[in-house]
Amino acid sequence: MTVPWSRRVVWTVRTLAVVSLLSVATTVWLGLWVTPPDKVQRNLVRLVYVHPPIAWVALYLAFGIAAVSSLLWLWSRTRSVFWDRLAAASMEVGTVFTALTLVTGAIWGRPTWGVWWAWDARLTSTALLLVLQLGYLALRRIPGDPEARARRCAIGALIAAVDVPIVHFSVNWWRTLHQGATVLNANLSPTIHGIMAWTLLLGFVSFTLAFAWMLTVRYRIQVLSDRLDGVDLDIALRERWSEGDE
Amino acid sequence: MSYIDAGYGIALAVLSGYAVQLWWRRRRLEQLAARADIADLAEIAEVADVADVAGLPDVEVSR
Repeated sequence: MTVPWSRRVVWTVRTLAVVSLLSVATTVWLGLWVTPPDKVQRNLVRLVYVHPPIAWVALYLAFGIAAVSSLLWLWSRTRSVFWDRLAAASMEVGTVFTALTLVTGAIWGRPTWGVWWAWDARLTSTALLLVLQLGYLALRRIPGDPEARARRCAIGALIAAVDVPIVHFSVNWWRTLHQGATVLNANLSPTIHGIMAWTLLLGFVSFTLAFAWMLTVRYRIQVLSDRLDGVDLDIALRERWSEGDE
Repeated sequence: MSYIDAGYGIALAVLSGYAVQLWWRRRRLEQLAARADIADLAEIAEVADVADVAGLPDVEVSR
């Protein structure tokens, strides 16, 4: 039987949706109309309020949750279907954010570098991450025993997670077109200040909230999918049997 | 259209589209699960009726 969401959970999820929607809207308003243009990048700097927050969700949050959940599933003491479902949900939502990271990065790169794409260390390692995420999603679709699927997906997620530090440190390890970190740099001293820094911070918070809502709903979808797994087959078999009886 | 409009437009359109798709998927699956639950209950009731008629003792059905 399916356990429905309690009223409290429904209320929390709805509140999360409204708060994330309002905070994303505020980020867009501040980013497009309130913050000043940059001395070097002029108006193009406005893309800083969406591109890094989306990348933060894709790389660190979504992948971090998927990797930790996979690890906890693999560890026999903490093994639970919850971790497998959470990893699956986080990886799917993260894939959307990684694709957006590449698209918004290309849109920013065209006027800044003169090209949509370059085989640069940061860009290439991020593209590889997207391929690995798509591979993980393909692994999940292979039919078979749920436990075997959970095991191969958990191992796949941990192998893919090796690419995350490579993406992060790529701007330090190699000479790249991509600029260094603005906030999480080696000195931990942000190179952005005032309202621009606050808007960027709000961008990080609002996209994190949007991710939290998507993750919650996607997790629920995973629970319902597991519940309904094989139900279609049951119905088809019952219909066949009833046809046979006639 | 400027690069800034394109960046914001694509990011917001994709995220909104994905959010709506998630909402629809969850709604559809909730309805399907509710239907499957009703079918299961009907099956359990049918089994219980047959057991009553046959004079079998009550059994706990769990899923």
